[in-house]
Amino acid sequence: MSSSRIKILIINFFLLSFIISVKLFYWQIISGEKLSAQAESQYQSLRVIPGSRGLIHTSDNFPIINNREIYNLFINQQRDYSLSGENLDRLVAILEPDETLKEKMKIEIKNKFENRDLAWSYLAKSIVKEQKQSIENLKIKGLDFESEEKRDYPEASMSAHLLGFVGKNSIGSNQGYFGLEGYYDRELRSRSGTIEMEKDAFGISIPIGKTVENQAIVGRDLYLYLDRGIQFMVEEKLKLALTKYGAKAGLVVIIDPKTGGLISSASFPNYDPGNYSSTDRMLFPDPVVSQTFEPGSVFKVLVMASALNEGVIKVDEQCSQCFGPRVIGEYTVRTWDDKYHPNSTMTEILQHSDNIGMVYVAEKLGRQKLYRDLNNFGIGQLTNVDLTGEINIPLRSPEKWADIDLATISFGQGVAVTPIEMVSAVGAIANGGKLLEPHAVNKITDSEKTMEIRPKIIRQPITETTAKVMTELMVSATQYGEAKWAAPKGYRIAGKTGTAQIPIAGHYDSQKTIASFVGFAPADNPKFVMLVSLTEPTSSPWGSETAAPLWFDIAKEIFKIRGILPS
Amino acid sequence: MFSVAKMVVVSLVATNGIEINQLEKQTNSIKQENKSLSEEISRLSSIRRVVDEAMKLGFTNNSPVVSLSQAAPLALR
Repeated sequence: MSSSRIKILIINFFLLSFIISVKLFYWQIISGEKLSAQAESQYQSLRVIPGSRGLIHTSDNFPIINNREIYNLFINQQRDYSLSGENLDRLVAILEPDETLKEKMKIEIKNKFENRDLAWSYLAKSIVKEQKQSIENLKIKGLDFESEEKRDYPEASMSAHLLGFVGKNSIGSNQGYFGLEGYYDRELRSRSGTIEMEKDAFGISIPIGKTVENQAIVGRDLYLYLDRGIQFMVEEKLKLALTKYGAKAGLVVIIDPKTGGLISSASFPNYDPGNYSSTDRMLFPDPVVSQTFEPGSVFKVLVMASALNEGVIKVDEQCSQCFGPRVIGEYTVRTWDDKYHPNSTMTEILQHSDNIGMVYVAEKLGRQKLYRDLNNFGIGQLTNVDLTGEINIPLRSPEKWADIDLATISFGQGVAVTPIEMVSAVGAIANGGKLLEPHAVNKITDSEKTMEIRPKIIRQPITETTAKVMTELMVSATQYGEAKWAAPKGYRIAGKTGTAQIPIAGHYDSQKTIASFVGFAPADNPKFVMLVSLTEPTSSPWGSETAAPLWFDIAKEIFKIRGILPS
Repeated sequence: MFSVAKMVVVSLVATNGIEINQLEKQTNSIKQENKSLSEEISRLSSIRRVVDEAMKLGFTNNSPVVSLSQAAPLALR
């Protein structure tokens, strides 16, 4: 072989090696990742396992919040697609029930089918299973569905404020807002998982192949103290009462005094959590924890209980100043009906809801003790209820109280509390003097464990003996007070009416009131503590003529539902 | 011996891919159906629906409970 031929062979050999090296460099370094991904997609299958958000159950294990599968309909323009005029009519008939909007939808869908530039585009969102099946039956080429879970409310807007809702956050992920959805978002939240498996040429999984599994995280379920039957009844009665008494708003909170569990919590006006986006945002916060009110006469029970507990007054002690109005500084304090009861006992002061008598009690107690005792009842503090948005207005320091402040606080004006704060404080009287932390959730479960939330005693603001004495005073206030006409016969109910004036633009409006009633029953073995509050009732401004009858009406139903017999 | 046993097991399992796929599909479809039925049960057993249905069937609210506070009268003779 001549040397030139050998040279040509060597050159060709190096040239070929160079080309192969370049090609290998291109495959392995430049396109390596892309080609690996393409290869992986040929022999590996990826399956997404959706994680479901935790459910919320009432005390009868009913899922008051469920998850529902919904579907988004889109045209997959990477596939062959077409739509006949006849199918367009049928499709629109399935998607749009409103006749006036059908024509508009037809044009939109037609335009999307004709636009060849898009890879895919949505035709409809949040359609239900029945609609999906009807659309599938049309066998329209190029249509696809993607599924997602949406919160479902089998009892519609029941307990809307308590439950809250799930919306999208700034990065488009599901997030709970307000109520329990907001407070327990971390527990309820889920995360999707994946399974990567090797597959054969026909796309069938290879059982002995490599499998990589990222487990889906399913949200934890909540079990509430909420009694669904009582909640339904309460909401029905509250709705009727708002119309009957012409009130602007109203709420009812019921707790179990022995556990602090929220048996019922209702407030109107409310909203539909399944359609929260079309609701006025002002309605989202739960008034039970996020709104304060001046409690008025219902507050007298706390002041009286404090004075009895401190031993500064006795039940049969006579009020030496109850003969007429009291002048304190530049103010004159009167009774609500301008009638006066000289030498009233403490029992009679509560029966008559006597402001002058309460000023007498508060003056005996003094600023420092009243301030300390009200704080012990949790007034001015957060109750730490497990609901989003709880607020508190701390009591002003007693050093800053003028004489008139001590007087007005004694009958519940000039002090602001949330409904949950008020009902918890009265719950301490019903619970032998022990103040409990209120709770909506009884237990939290996941597939591995159940976490029970046990009743938590915060402190004991009054002794058991004081609680018993105070209960008798409240029973007497119900039996002989202004609301005695509405009280059910045969039951010992400890309660107190309240009619508070509303401060508007720096002064109290004489026409606008918050009518309320707080109490517990049966007095000797309390099964529930309830607060009823009606804002600006127009049929009568008085709690004894509006909130009290509603309280008794609800109590009678609870007696029936819980099988509580007359004493 | 171990290798032979392993080969036998692998060859037996390797052909079960189709069956496993079918079982997976079946499991998913049953899970889906179970979920749908749970939703249906919740919807049908909501108090609002039960009350509406009861009213349609002619049920009324129960009358107030009357409690007798004294001993029932006895026939004297």
